[in-house]
Amino acid sequence: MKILEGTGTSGGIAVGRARLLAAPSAVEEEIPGKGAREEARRCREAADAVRRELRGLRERAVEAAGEAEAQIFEIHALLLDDPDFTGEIQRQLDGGAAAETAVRRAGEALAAEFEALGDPNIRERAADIRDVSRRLLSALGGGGGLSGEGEPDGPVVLVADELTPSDTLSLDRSQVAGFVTRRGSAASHVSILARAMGIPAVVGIAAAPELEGRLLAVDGDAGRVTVDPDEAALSEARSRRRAAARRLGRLRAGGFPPAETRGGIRVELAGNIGAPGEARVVLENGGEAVGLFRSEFLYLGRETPPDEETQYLAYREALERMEGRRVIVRTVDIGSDKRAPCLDTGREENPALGWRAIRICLDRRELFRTQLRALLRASVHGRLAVMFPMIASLQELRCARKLLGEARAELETEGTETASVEVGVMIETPAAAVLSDLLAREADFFSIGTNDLTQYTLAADRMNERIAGYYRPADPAVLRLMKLTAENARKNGVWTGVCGESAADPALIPLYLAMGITELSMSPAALPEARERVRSLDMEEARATLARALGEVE
Amino acid sequence: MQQFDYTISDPMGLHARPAGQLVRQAAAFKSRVTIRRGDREADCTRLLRVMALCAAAGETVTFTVDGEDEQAACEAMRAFCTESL
Repeated sequence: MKILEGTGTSGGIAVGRARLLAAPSAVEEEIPGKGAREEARRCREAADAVRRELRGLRERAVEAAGEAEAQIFEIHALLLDDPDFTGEIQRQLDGGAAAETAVRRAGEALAAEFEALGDPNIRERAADIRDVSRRLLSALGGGGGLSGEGEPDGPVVLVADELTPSDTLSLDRSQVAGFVTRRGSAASHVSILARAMGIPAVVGIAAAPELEGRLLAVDGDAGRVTVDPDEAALSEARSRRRAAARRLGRLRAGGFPPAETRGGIRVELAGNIGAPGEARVVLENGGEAVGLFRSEFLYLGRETPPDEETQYLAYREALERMEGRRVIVRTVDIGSDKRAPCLDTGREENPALGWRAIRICLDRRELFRTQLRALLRASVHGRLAVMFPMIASLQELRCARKLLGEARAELETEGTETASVEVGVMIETPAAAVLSDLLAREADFFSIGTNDLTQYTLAADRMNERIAGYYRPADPAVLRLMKLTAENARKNGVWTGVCGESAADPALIPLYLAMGITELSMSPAALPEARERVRSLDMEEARATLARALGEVE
Repeated sequence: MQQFDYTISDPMGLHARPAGQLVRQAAAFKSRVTIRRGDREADCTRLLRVMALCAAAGETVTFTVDGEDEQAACEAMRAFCTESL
C-alpha cells in the first residue's frame, strides 16, 4: 500500500483499477495490409463506428457540459469526412499501406501541415486532426485511445498526465469512477467536468506507468490516492462511499424543504459553477440559484479569448437551464496565478496582488467589452446578475458600470434586445469591505469571496503550506470585515451573499446568518448538507456564537 | 455564376466553429461554392481547406457560387456571413 498526496478538485471517494491514458505512440509500427480493397473496407467501417461514436459523444457532452462545449464533436465529425483527410488515407491505401498505417500517416501529415500555418487559431486544429485519427485507430482496433485495449472489468480510475476536454467528455460515466492527473487545478477543464459529472478527481499526481492496472482508492475530498489499498483502507473507502451516497439519497428524498432557520429566517442556497452544464447539478442538489458562475472557464485552455458568440451561448445556456432562477456571472477572473494562454499576463513576483481580474478588464477594454456584450445579449433568456471581482475602490466599480452601460447602449443602437441585470461587487479585498458603505450605494448586491478576503486580510498565502495555520476564515479580523459589509449593505437596501469555500462550512454558516447574510453559494454537492445545517439553526444561539467569534465577549 | 465579397468581422477570423457552419451551409446546395483569399481558393465544402486559408478579421474574401441553385445559394451564403462571420 502506498499513499500519494495531491490536490482534490472534485469531491467524493472512488475505488477502481488504474487505467493509464498515454499519448498516442509516435513510433510507427508497420502492420502488413490485407490488400487495398480489404483495408479500404476496414477504414469505411471504422469511420462509420467513429461517426456513431461522435454523435453519441455530442449528445452526452451537451448533457454534461452544454452546447458550446459539445461543438467540438461536430467539428470532429466534419474532419472525419473531410476529402483532404479521406483522400490522403485513400492514397496511402492505394500505395499498399494497412488501414492503421494509412490513418496514422494521413493524420500526421495533415496535422503537421496545420501546425506549420501562421494563425494560432488554426494551428490548434492540428490537435483535433490527431484526435480524430486516434479515434479511427481505436475503431480499427489499433489502440491509442480510451476505447482501445479490451473492455475493463469493473470501475476504472483514469490516470493521465493531462486530460483534454474531448478526452473527458468522451468518457462513459458508468465506467469511470475517478480521475487522477498530474497537471490541472480546480479551474481546469477536467476538474470542472469532473464536478459536473460527480466523479472524484485528484490533480498533482504523476501518471507513472507502473500504476497501470493497480487498484486505486481516490479520495477527492482529501486529495489523496491510495495505491493497492489494504483490506482496512479498502473497506473504509467503500463504507465512506456508501455512507455518502446513502446520506445524499436521504437528503434528496426529503424533497428539499425550504432553507429556513428554526425561527423562520429564509436563506437562499446557491451553487458555484464553472460551466453551463453544471447548472443541472445545482438543481439536482436543491440549489435555488447560481451564486457564482466562474466565467474564466471559457478563457482557459485556448490560445485566443472566446468570441462574443461563444460566450453568449454559454451564458444563455446557464440561464435557460436555471429556468428563471438567478445566475450570477462573475466577469473574468484571470491573473498570473490562474493563467490562460489567450491572455498573456506574464510572470509576476506576487500574482495575488498583481495584474488580475477587473484590473485586466479595465486595461484591456476590448476584451471586457466582448464579455459585457455577450452577457447583455444573454440577459433576455433568464434572470442574470453580473458581478465584478477584485474591486478595491469606488472608481473601479464606477468604471466597470460605465462600460456595462456603454455596451448596453451599443447593443440598443444595433437593435439588439437586452434585459435589466443586477450588478454586484465581489467583496474580496479588505479595501472593498472597508468601503462597503460607499460601494453599497452603487451596487445591487455584494458577494463575499472568503478565500481571497481571508488571504488578504491576514496576509496569509493560502497556497503556502508553512503558514497554513495563519489562513483562518473564522478569524475575528475576517469576520469583522464581513459583518461590516453585511451591515452597510443592509442600510442601503442591498443584499449580501458568501461565495467562498467557507459558505459550506457547518461551523461558519451560523455566524454568517447571524451577521445578516442572506445567500450562501457553494459547490453544488455541498448544498444538501448546508440545507440541513440552516434548518437546524437557532438564531439566538448563532448570535451569541458570533459575538464570541468576533472577540466582543470572552 | 455569382460572386460577392465579404469582409470578416469575427475577431478570431474564420476559425473552426464558423468554418464548420460554413461548410454545412455550402453542402446544402447543389451549386459549387468556393471561397478565395488573395491568390488561394478553397472549395467551401472542405473544412480543412477552408480553415487553412487562415482568413483573419478585417480581411476580405470572395465567394463564388456556380450551379443550378446559385441564386438561392448565394443569398444563403451572404446571409450566413452577415450573421456569423
